[in-house]
Amino acid sequence: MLKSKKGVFTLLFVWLMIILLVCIAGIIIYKDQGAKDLPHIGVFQLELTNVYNEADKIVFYLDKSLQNSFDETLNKIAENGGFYDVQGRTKNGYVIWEWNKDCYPDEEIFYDSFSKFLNEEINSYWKQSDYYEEDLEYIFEFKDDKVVGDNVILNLSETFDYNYINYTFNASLLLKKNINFDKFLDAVTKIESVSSFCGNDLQCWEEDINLDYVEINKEGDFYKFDIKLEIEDKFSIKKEVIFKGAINYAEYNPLLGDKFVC
Amino acid sequence: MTKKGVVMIFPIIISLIILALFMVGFFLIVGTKEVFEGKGKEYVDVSVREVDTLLLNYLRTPIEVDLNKDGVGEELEISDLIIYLMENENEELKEKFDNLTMDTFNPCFPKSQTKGLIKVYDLNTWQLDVYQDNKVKFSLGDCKEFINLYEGYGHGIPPEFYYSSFLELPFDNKIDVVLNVCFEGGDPLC
Repeated sequence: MLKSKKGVFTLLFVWLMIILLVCIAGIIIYKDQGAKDLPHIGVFQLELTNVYNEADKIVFYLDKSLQNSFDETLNKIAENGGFYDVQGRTKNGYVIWEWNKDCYPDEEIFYDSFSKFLNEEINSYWKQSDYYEEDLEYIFEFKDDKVVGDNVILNLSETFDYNYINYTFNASLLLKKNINFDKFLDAVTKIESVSSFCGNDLQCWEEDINLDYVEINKEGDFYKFDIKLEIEDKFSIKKEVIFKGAINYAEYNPLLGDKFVC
Repeated sequence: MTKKGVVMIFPIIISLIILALFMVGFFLIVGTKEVFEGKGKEYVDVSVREVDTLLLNYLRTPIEVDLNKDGVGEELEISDLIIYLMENENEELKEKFDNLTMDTFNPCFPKSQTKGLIKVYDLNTWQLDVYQDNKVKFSLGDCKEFINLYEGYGHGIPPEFYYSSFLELPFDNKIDVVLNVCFEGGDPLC
């Protein structure tokens, strides 16, 4: 009886051990199957370093694009007299600010136009890049002497097609520029106020405008204003940018249709 | 211990030995499989990324150059100078840029040295190429010198390491800047 009990215990113990072994083996094999898809130690870290390097190159490209774009935007917005869209409002290369009704660029219009031009320009460079997948949508803000483009998330599936993690990153941009746009906006405000009491009287204009960086040229009833600002270009070389605006005191004929859309 | 006790414990010891043999055998098979499949060992090449960083840092290096010759130096980065040279032909500036680049890179890549009769091949060199429309606009440094020297000494083999880093610069027609680094042995990077 005792012998038989001992045999049962031994058998039970052996079977328990075999079951335990099978379980351990099963777990290890199962884990091993899963591990085939998992990276080795350090691969995540290396991948992250690679992504960082690649992203750094992209941000560098965008930084330089912003630098170039700023100069081009400045030329375009100066040509457009502070506006983004000037359809039906140009004559002899000047944008008409007043003709029967007022259409002057205020602070909001000016900075909004600048931001749109800047985004357009930066995208023209971005399209040339090998990284390009889709257009960027920056909204630029102007804070003191800084231009800040924020919250643009880049999700470049082709560049960041890594094995283990999908990467996106925020490509925020900042450009320091020592340009006083208030000078331009002040000149526009002054022109608007002088126009209201001088009208088509050049002598009155010349007496009242009092801004050495504003030049007035008259062609009949058409007054042309050159507002000259000194800026530093991308190579930190000083040069002049001329903002062009005009007032047309010629009689406005609404029967010809409202060509002057503000 | 009594005879009865020895008899009782004997099957347990046998079972434990069998179990231990099972486990040793099992892990031996699993372990050998990993070694043969190369698992647990991986060749990780990070040097290319170091060259990337080197190129980025180089392009961001601040310099002061009097571009408009008004007696006051303009504060730029090397990348700006490259763009400036694409827009403006200026041999004097190119030479200055060449020297500046030599000064920046050469401490990182020391030349070969001779110890007695034995030439120690730890020559490291670099070449910076600036492309536009897939054509080389200008090159600085010389990697070929390294390869030629190698072949001249009868090795006839390419450098042990040849790393390239590529970076785009925005321009009317995009500029590509390529940094080639050739070296053998030693610490190749700064």
